[in-house]
Amino acid sequence: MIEFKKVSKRFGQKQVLNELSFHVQRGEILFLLGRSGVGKSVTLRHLVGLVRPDSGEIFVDGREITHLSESEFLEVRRKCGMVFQFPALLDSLNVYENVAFGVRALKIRPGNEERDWVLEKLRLVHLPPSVADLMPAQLSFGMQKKVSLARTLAIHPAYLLFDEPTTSLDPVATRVIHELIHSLSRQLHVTSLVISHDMDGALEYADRILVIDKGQIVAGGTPAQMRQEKHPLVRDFLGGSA
Amino acid sequence: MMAVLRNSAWSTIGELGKTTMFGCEVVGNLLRYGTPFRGLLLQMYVVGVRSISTTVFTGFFVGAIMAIQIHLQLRDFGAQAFLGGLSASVTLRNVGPLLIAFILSGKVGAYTTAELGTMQVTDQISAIRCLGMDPIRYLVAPRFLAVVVSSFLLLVIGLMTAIGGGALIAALDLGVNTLNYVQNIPTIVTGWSILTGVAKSFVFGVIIAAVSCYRGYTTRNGASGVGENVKSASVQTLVTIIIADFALSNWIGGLMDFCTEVLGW
Repeated sequence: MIEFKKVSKRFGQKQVLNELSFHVQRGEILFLLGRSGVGKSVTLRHLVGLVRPDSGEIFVDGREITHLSESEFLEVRRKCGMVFQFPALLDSLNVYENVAFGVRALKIRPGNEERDWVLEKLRLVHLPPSVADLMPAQLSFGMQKKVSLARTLAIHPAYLLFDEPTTSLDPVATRVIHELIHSLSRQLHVTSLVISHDMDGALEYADRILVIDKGQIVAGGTPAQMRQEKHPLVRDFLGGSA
Repeated sequence: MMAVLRNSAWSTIGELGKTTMFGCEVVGNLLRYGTPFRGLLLQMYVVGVRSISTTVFTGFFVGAIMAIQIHLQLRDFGAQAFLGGLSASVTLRNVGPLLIAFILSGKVGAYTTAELGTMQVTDQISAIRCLGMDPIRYLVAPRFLAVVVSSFLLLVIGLMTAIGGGALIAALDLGVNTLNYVQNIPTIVTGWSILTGVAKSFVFGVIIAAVSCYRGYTTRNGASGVGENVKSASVQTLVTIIIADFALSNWIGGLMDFCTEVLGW
């Protein structure tokens, strides 16, 4: 389980997170929705130690991670696989090398099993083995996102953290990515925390939805409950998805 | 006015300190873990081999310019016989390393800053960290070592080309016999001249590597941040190289005096 307890974070004069508290249950798909600049991505980055809170506590599987050193964070990062808003593939490596990068460094699989492991992860995200030799620049943006997801899956995380996974994608590619998130979460029994501002996708694929505004959770519930939610911000989001 | 100058000086000193700390961290990482040989070769090819033509071109003209300028001075005293030794000495000791390092900072340094900066703002470095790995070890250390080694070797190549350029322009344009030019070189160029050139080349290579990697790695704020940091890296590299040149000239001069006068070497 992931748990945020009264986490606050300020960048200069801007209070981004303001005593933010929520939890993610094992195995669930949680969508965290909000407008741009309200702290969604910052929230996610706290979980992998890319941002440290000013106050409050964060727990992953009962372990307090707020004050871990950089080396102590390695274990948490192996557990929490992050898929960035932009694919963040290493330009100088081909698709295979990108996916195998973490597998080799973290010794996830012995050398003789590496190729099968990497190709299996590509297959999971619906990419054929033939893309393995291509460079990231030769792929469409949507395919790069899938490779990025395969790279994260390759380190066998217990939690998948998605930072706006459908940004810059057309409606068809958006649907494909949402379906991938849903099917992988169920198939691999991983917990997924998805940062998004796409209420349509959240209502269709989430187990639970939280809405964040001004650094705090302002509404939350199952998709069915959210459809009845009266909070103005939620109504705005629902209006957009109607 | 004074306050602006004071703030600027403190800011420069602060950046130099941070760059030094970063360089020490990278060197410590290299000593502890080493770096993959294949990755190092790839980086040396990217930053080094591709800069050979620029270095040779620059070195040739640096040597030629030195020969022409010194010839103008010597001609007034009828001392053209010393042209080879004097122009080679000046080129080796100071002008060569300095000018070639400036060119390399614009080519090798800017490339490295822009590459690491782009990796930073497109989350490639964050992705490496999230895969449980240290980006200093996997991304910065090979580049740092490649830039140090490549810059050093390029500077040495550039200095040799500069001497060749001086000899060629002396023969073709200044009417100085090439054999006389070359034979005069050892009378003025000593082991200390070569040591000075080599030491400066190494130190300037380290400066280009440390500043470019530090500025690239600490880039923020998207594409404009990359542009801003490439510019800052260029300025910081040039200023640091000039300060280092001054310090090295003094230290090596002092060391040379100590060795010759006190130790009698």
